Amino acid sequence: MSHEELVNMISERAGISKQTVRDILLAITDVWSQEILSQGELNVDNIGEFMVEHRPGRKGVNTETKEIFLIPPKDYLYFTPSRELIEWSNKSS
Amino acid sequence: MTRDELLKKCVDRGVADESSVGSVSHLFYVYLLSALQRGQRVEIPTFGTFGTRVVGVKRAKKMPFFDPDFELAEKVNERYRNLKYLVVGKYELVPAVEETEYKGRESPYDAAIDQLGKEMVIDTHHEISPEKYEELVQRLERPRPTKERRPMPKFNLKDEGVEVQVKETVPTPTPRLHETAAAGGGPGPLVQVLIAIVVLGLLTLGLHYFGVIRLWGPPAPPESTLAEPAPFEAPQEQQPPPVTEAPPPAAQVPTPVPVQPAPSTPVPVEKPKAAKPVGTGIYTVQVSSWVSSSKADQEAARLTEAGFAAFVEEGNVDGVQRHRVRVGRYDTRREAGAEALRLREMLENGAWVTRVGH
Repeated sequence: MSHEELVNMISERAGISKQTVRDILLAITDVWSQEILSQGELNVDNIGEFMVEHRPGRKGVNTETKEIFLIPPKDYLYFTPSRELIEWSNKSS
Repeated sequence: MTRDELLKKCVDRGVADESSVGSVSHLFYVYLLSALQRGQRVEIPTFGTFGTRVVGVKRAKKMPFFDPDFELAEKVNERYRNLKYLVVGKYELVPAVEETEYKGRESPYDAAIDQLGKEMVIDTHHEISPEKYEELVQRLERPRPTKERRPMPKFNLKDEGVEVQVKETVPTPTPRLHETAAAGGGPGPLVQVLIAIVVLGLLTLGLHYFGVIRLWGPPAPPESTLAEPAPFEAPQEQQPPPVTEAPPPAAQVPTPVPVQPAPSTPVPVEKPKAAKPVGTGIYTVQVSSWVSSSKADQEAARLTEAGFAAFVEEGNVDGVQRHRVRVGRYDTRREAGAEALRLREMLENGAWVTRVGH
């Protein structure tokens, strides 16, 4: 489902213009991402938990040339789905 | 973050009123669930994509996942994005830290990043010696070796403008025979002799096999034994000539028909002593067998006196010439058997049915 389809469905169902729906959705996701960037974690009710985790740098070896190089450290965003989300995705329609 | 907090923050931004924001957020949640239930993906720009993927084999189930947008992932990783080098084991600046101590945004490298100005950050999870560290730095500063790309060789199919290099072949003088022998190139004299012996032996064996010469085995059987079964037909064929005198005039006529009986009549080795005329069947009754021909003749004479059509047949048993005394010739085995029964009553050694020439 693309973003445009989602906006159309929501606007039809709620009786709100598409532009407002788009703005509201953008605002919601922006609030979430701001929370993630500032706090490093975000727990949304009934959807799941977003978590920023750190992967330290490590030594890597090129297996072809046997050259040692360093894989840089990185911060990753992980998502843990809620129990409700897992149940719904496995529910037969 | 609870629903109320989210609504409050969104309304604070001045996008819309609380009711519309609440309905939109609720519908978004409902449609997200329905899309995941149908196995679809939900794309939200600048945030990420929700979807499901199958996890496990035996108890496989759909697991929801979230793939963050590129922008969001870059923002999350902003601190480490512009780092120049990240070297393992800079023990001087940052002490070794266990991996479990990393948590969220609180990283022990913040101070190091501030000190080095995002040029050189050392991420440490185990200590190394200073020599090793300098070696690593040098290795990192060294430019990466690029693979040389060789140009594809051009195939000149038409042979245009290419000088073909012809190799000058120097004709080597062929060595003479005695020279090769001296150099050890050819086979030595002993080997030559051996080869000659082997060849000769094979030749003789071949001649023996084809019957040209005879090396071993029993002596060649005399011609008489080869023409053994014939003599009994001979008397019948020999009898006609004196009576009819047909062959002489027939021989004069160059027709192939009368010529045929002449070669077909083999040399009669021994004439049968039996007075009674013998039949022409293949079955006969054998009474006895003798080495000496005289005894066999006596036996045959005795039988003919008794009234049997006895005759003497020669046979070769294991290289020994035998003279078999036989009685009569019959077309069927039954007739011969009846005759044998009659003989068995009279003779001590018995009598048995055989075939002529066996």
